Amino acid sequence: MLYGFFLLLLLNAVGDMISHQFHLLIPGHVIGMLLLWAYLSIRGNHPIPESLNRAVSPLLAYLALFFVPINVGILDHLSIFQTEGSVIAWAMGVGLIVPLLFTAITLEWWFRRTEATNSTAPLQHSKQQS
Amino acid sequence: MTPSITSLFNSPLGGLTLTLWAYSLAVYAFKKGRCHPLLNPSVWATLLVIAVVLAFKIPPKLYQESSSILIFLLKPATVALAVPLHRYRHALRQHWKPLLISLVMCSGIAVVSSTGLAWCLGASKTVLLSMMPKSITTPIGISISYTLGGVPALTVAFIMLTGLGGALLAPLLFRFLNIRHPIAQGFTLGAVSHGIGTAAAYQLSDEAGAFSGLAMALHGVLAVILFPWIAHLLGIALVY
Repeated sequence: MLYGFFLLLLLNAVGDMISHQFHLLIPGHVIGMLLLWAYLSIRGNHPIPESLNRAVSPLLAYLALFFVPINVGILDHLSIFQTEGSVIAWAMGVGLIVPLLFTAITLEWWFRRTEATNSTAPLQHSKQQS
Repeated sequence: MTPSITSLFNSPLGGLTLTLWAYSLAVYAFKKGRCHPLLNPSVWATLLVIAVVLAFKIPPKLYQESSSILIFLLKPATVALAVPLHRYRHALRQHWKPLLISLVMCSGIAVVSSTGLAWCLGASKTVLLSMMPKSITTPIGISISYTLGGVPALTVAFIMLTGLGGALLAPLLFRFLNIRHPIAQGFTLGAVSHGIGTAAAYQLSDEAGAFSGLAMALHGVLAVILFPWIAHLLGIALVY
């Protein structure tokens, strides 16, 4: 587990250095994620190292916990909502619901369609055979 | 009485104790309520901490410094998102086209619907530019806001509200609209509500979480390339 955690930190650090070196807007930990993804993809079907698995599962299980201190920072910005509050509320509400609906409905439609064609294809095949 | 409580927050002891207490309580309530979306642990843990911080007059900045270890752990956790992605590589290889197309459209729709409406309602330029990256993961969103000429602090607030709002609303919408496919659920949550959405997606299923993490990362990278262009196209810089 420690070795796995070290690997995550190392990739994070390498990502940070790349981000600084090339003045990228993408933060180091996102680059680190892409690096780890590339590394695992190169390994292909080799199983993921056990120590990495052990380090990753608690981090992902408690993802929601790590956001709590950041979320509390909203207390610092309450004054802005007093001046332009209603405009912000409308724009944020519509800007949340519309893309949510669009993406969820589009993708669900796509997956139902592909699953429908996948399940009918062998059926047609067997009909032709008979 | 209050000064002694505040002094606990000069070390990680106060912040960690308070956050872990609030989070455990929120998770307990979530499980007791059979994982009802409105009992989202992120939201309720945040509200509990806010209530305590306000009640004992603890400065929010002090609380955040005290629990900075948790904020730091977000970074290796983001790197860790590559592992579930790798686990679902076959599904990704099969569906990357519709996912990418819907992500680009979702990104455009999110920006146009929010900033467009705010513009029509007469919001200030600061609010418009700060609102653009509201669906992007916080660290990327902040830097985009800065390059566009927005106020990063305001952007953080918008990002947070979009994250919490999506984490609360999306699972309800999924039930209501009968959205059942885990990839559709997860990808939507990550594309719209970034990290907080990804945390919520992990509560739906492992597969949903994996694709939520993917959507969040891709949306971040996409936004860095795309948003300066969208801002230009919307003519925000020209109108004012």
